[in-house]
Order: sequence, then C-alpha cells, then structure tokens
Amino acid sequence: MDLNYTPEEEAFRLEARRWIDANLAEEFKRGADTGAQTSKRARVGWYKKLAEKGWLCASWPKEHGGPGWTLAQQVIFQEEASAQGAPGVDMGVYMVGPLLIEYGTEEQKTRFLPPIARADLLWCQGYSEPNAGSDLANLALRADRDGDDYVLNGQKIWTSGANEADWIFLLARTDPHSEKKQTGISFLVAPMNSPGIRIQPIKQITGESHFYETFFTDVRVPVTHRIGNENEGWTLAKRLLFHERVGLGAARSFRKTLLKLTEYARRVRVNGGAAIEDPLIRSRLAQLYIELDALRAVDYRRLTQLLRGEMPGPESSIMKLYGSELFQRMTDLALDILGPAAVLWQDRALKDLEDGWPKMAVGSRAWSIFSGTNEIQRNIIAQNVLGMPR
Amino acid sequence: MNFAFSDEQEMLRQSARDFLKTHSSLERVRRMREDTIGFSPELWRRMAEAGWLAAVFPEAYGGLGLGYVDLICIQEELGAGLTPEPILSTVTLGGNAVLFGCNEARKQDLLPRIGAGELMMTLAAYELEGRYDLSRVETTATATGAGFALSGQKCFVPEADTSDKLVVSARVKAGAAKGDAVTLFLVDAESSGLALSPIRTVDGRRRSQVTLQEVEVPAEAVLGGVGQGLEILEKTIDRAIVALCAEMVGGMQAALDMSVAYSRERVQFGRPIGSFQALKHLAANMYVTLETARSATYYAAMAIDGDQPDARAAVSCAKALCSDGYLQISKAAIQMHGGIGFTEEHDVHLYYKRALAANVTFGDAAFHRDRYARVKGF
Repeated sequence: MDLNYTPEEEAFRLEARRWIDANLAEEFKRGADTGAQTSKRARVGWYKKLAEKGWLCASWPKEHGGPGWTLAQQVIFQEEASAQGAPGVDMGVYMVGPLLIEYGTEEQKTRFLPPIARADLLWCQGYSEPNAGSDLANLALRADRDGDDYVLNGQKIWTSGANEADWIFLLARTDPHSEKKQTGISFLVAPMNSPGIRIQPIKQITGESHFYETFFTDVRVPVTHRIGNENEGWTLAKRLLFHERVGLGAARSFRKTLLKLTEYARRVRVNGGAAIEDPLIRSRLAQLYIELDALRAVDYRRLTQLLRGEMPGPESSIMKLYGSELFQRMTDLALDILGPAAVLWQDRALKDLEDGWPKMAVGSRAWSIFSGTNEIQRNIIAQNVLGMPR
Repeated sequence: MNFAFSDEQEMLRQSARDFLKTHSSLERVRRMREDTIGFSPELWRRMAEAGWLAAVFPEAYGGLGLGYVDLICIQEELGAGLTPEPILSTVTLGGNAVLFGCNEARKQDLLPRIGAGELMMTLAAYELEGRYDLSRVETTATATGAGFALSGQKCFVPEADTSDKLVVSARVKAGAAKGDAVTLFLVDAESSGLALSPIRTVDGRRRSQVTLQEVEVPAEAVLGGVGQGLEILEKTIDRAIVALCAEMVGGMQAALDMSVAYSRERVQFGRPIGSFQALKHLAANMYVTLETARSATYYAAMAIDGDQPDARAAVSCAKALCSDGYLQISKAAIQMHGGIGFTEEHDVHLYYKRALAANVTFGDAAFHRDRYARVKGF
C-alpha cells in the first residue's frame, strides 16, 4: 500500500503546477476560496490556453487531439488544476467528445471533435424533464422523423449553463410505442441557436439561477446529428452517467469548507468562550474531520481502481451518498454555531458574523438530490452491489 | 498510487479465510463462551505455525517483519468469524509493549516465545475511574530495596486469567501530577499479591478485574524507564486499535452479509423482504458505514506502518468510525432479521454483543473524537 506516485509522475506534477500557476487567471485563484461564480469569458480563456498547450482533452486518444497522458498524469493534472481553483472543463470535453470517439460516425468526429478540442464549442446537457427526474427513462421530449430531420417538441429542465452553451446534447423519444421506455430513446445533438429553442432561468432557493428550462417547439435536428443508432440512446447515456460529482474535487472543496468552519468556530463566541471550546461543538467538528478523512480514504480506493484501468466500482456511489450528507452536516453545524444569527440572509452590515453560512446551508440541500438522489443511490447500492431483490 | 493490498496480502487473507472454514465456526465460538480458558490451544498452536503470531515482530526477534497492513488481512477474517483466540492481547498488547519497552535481552527472550505460541501476555493499564485515559492511573509503585511493590486495581483486563505475564501500568510516586511517572512493569501471573476475578462479559471473551496488593517486582521489571509508560502505552495501544478495527470491519461485513442473505430468503407478503425499500435503504446505509470504516482502517494501518505524522489521528479516525459503525451495523442486522434476530439461537446477536464490547475497548467514539481533536490541535 503506497500513496506515492513515481518520480517521473511527480516531475510531471511540478510541471503541471507551474504551468497552471503561470496561466490560470487570478479570478480563479481568488475565487477558489469564495466559491464565487466565474465569467464565461474567463473560463473560455482558460480552456483556450489549455487547448493551445494541447492539454484540454486530457483523456482523449492522441489521434483526436489528446496529449497522450497516462491515467496517472490525468489524475495528477486534475488534482493540481483543482487545487489552484481552475474551473472544470466543459462537458464537450469529458462527455460528448469521448462519446463521439466511441460511437460517432467519421463525419461526426470530423465535424465536432476539432472545435471541441479548440474550446470553440461549449455544451449543455438535456436529460431531465419535469416528469423525468429520477425516472429519466420516462422522458417525453419527442423527436419525430420528417425526411432527413427529427422534429423536436417538448422541454428539458435543470439544464445547467444553457445560457452560455453553443450546443446541447440530449435524449429524446424517437419511438413512443416501444415495449420498454428505455428502448425508445435516441441521443441527439443540436445548436442552442436553433429556431424553436427557448430557455428560461429557474430561480433556486439560494436566490441564484444557474439552471434553466429549455423549451423545444418544432426544432429541426438533422438525422446526421444523432449519435449512435436510433432508439439506442439509453445505452449511450448510461455510459455517461458514470460522471462523478463527488470525486477528489468535491472532497477537496469540502475540506476547504471544513477549514473555514473551524476558523469560524474559533472566532465566534459561545457561552463565554470560543465556539470551538464548547465540548459538543468540538466533538461534532472532530466527527466531520473524521468522516472527511474516511471519504478521502474511499477515494484512494477509487483512484487505485481507476489507475489500474478497472471498471469503476461502487466507490462513486458511496462517495456521492456519504459526501453529500457530510456536507449537509457541516452546514448544519455552522448554523448551530451561528445560533440566533442564523436568521440572517446575505446581510451586508453583519457580513462577517453571517460568513456565508446560511446560504451555504440552504444550498447544501441540493447535494442529496442532484446527480442521482440519495434514495436512488441507496437503491442502486442495495440492488446492484448487495444483490437485494428488486 | 496504490491503496490496495498486494497479491501476497490477498493470499494471506485467503489463507485466514480457509483456516477458519476448516477450524472454526460460530458454533465453536458459542462453545468458547462457556469454555474454561475461552480459546483453543490447538488453534493457537496452528496460528503460531502459520506465522500469524510472529507476523508483526521484527525478524531479529523471530518475527516475519510484516506490517499492520498485513496483519489486518488476518484480523479481518478472524473478526468475521468472531474468533476468540487472543491475538489482540498477547501479540498486539503484550508483544508490542515488550517490543517498544523492553531491553534487547528481554526482547530476544520473550518475542520469539510469543511468536511460537508459547507465551501468553496481556496489558493491565485501564482503571475504572480513569475510563479510557491511560494517564489516569491510581495504581502505585512504591520503591523497595530490590525494585517496586505494586498496589491497585485494574479493570476489564483481557485474557488476564490465561496470561503468563501481564504488563501493568502504575504511578511511581503516588500523588504526582496526572500523567507524570506512569511506568510500565512486567509482572508474572504467578506473583504473590496478584489476584484475578474473571468477570462475565457481553461478548463471552475473557476479562478479569486484577487486584495488586504489594506485588513485588524487581527493578528490571520496568519497561523502558521510570515515567516512560505513557509513550510505550500509546504506541502499543495505537497498534492494538488498528488490529481491533480490522477485526470489527470483518464482523461488520459478516453481519451485513448475513442480513442481506436473510432478506433474500425470508418471504412475507408474497415477496422476499429484501425487495422492500425500507430494508434496501437500511442495508445500503450499513454498506456505506462499513466501507467508510474499512477505508479509514486500511489507511490507519498504512499510516502506522509508514510511521506517518498523521498516524495517531488516523488511528482515532478509524476507531471512532468502527466503534459507531459496528454498533450501527449490528443493530441494523438484528432489525433486518425481525423476530428471529432477537433469539439466542440465531447467530446475528453475536455480532451485536461483540460490537458492544469492542466499542468500549481502547476508547469509544467520543473518546477518539476528542483525541483526534487534540492531536490535530483544536
């Protein structure tokens, strides 16, 4: 058992660290701690620098523009970029690209891969619908064949980044009469400026609007923009659903939050002393650190499998489930330390006292819902991992 | 970057599993609860032959020079089978105290004998008032001409009544400030003035109250030096905790496996009860608890072997999670079994009983949260 990388890998790490430091905008380095929203321009600027260096499409094969990195190098680069606050790369790079490489026609690869690799195309994902959340297969967006096109009617929801994306990749129903819902679904891509696409922001309980509803009215999408075979889109989507929301990135940001909470607990006074001196608060804080350490250890196991090129195991589900609820407990403790001041909501005068915790606590509710609700995660663990009967 | 076991370690694990299949069973475990010595000398001999008792001792002392990452491969399997053979007390408590505290001659004498299964040892450090705090010692060691006279009471000493030697902690100057002058002494079980009262225990393992009344020991009986007891104790107990956590992880896995298997067989309302979501979620929670405690335990073993600066925190992290986790899982296991889980006849309660005892061995979750906080400086 050894967490160390090889000397060559460590040399690469240093190279990556230096390059990122030299090329990452200040906006990201500063924002790393505040979690503030960053501008599209800044993000695209970063992607273009990566693209120029040939480092944008880290996991792609060399013949399609990848840097030819080993898995270890990909992991190391991700760690270094995330440590300095770099934004994650676009979905085109880690979702659409790999899908096209595996399932796309030659024309599709030629049409889409180079602009993705140049950071010329930003993407958003059209999966969920008002009636298709956990039960995604229940999706109803119609894609009816008309000559060489599909005509799309319906809507998507929770489309993150729809306002900035150039293209959308989506799941649509091409066979409304299929025996099983899953076998009537196709995977399509379309430009967001297509006639008939309209977006509308969704205001979240935190006050922000990062997500959109996307409406489709008679939107024409050429059949050549279908990836994979008609009615086989579900298989493609399942491959992409492995995307980890709680990988090392999220665990690292949880740790930053916990350090911030510890600082806060040292600062705030409770019962005549610092909050951190209160035995109950201290014990809860210690437990959060303990759980975060455990999460990191689970991630080491996931990483080890990944680096061996093995099929991902249940570690990602474990991490999503455990990590999301851990984060919620963190913000719960923050509110308990805040005490009566938990009534504040982004008050300017009392900004230092509030320290952003009420908003973070409210925002934490999403973590047990997105990326597969925790109930679904538990069903998956019970059925797929433990083999309990359906 | 490799946070996984080597092929040799996996083979060690498999051999432990095979060993248990051949030589132990829960039925035997039940019998051991009523047995005169509480474990099988024959099995102990076989474990010695397999090298398990000498595994973590350096080669210079007849050991295999392996680490805790190796030992936990064995311990996990033994824990799954609730095996009572006292690797924990003799090897990780007694053996480590000798390894970290005794002089060269003593080590050369005692460690190979432990490894060969010929010497049984334990540690008598905890006292009722002190709870889990090793520095809260009221047992006194008064200097005599030839050495020291020990007087006091130690509680819940594991396998005291089957040990040949006990490592006992005592305060050299009665009334000294807490923490000062805690000293370890090697005491023969036959010593005059040493009395053992075996207690009835929830998990059927052997524990005794140990009373010392002017037990005379020579000056050479001191491990390390006067006042060095705490340092030796912490190192010893940290390793015993890792071994115990691995045992607990094995028990958690077994309890979960038993529960899932039952949920697939037991039919009510025309379907296996495992098809009900309440039980699926209960089992999923058990699984997540198990895997996080397991990962933390593996990390702690690795940290101990590598002498990492975060080793002590990692050990407390593992114990806190295993303490809470084994209780949570074993309770849920009974729950999953419904009424039958509440019978003596069914095996599932054996894990709960073990969890209750293991929880309070070497510090419970609350104690380790506190120790973690102290070690991390908050």
